[in-house]
Amino acid sequence: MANFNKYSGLKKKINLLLDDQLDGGESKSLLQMVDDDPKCCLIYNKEKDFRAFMKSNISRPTVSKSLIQSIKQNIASHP
Amino acid sequence: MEENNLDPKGVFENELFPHMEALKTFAYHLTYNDAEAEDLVQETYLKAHKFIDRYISGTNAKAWLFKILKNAYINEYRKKVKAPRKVDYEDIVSYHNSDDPKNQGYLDLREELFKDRMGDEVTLALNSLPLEFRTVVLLCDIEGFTYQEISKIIDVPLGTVRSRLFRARNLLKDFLKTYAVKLGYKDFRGLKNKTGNPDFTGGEDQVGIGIAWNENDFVDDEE
Repeated sequence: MANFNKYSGLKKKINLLLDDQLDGGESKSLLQMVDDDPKCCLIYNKEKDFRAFMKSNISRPTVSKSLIQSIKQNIASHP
Repeated sequence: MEENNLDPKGVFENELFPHMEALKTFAYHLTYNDAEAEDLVQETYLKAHKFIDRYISGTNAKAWLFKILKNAYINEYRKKVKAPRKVDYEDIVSYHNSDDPKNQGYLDLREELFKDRMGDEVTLALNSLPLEFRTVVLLCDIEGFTYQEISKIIDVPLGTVRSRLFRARNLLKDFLKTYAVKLGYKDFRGLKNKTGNPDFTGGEDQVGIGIAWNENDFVDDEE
């Protein structure tokens, strides 16, 4: 259970690190831990890869030319 | 109050229009309908035009537009969509009496929309999340907004952004596990007991795309 709590807390911290929410000192010590502890490194890589996976696999529908035209026309007609 | 001398045309061209694609992606993942997403984007720009005097040139245009879009969706669009649609009684009767096999049973349109579309698993997974969770993932992981910006866009405290994100990502990983296994990644949950080795944490494959996991991933966060 202690182990579970330890890694649960670590995972939360790694999330904050990847989201750029830790201050300089905290980031530095956590990155050091990532370098030193293989399990920590594993969690770090998984979280990092998960973000990359989401970002590269999401559908990004294109903006139609008619939408661009329509917006520009609407704005022009309401000065 | 400081006077806001804006050249609206220049502001739209240089600061607001460049975010149209990002807005469309956000709108699409809120509505799951291309036409409705475009309506929402259009409404966002019209509102931005209406309130352009409130915008300070050179500030965070993207966050401003996303806030407008989110509000338009929550306050107006969802109400409109949720309003009962008026249908002709005769149409309903003829639909039920029809022998056309295509008319048998009811279909979940979302299910139909994404059925058999390999590669859209991320979209499906996002779609499975409650709106408040989906929104934070889209804003943070897809659009790269900071917690502070997200907090302002969706009007919730920073702590709530943090916990929603954590929970949303866990839900997504859980949803995407089937897809990951299909791609050849392994599910290592429970193997600790099967191997009898308390230190077992999986193997090299675990790194993968980050959705093959071990027991330590099952963490929930309190708001």
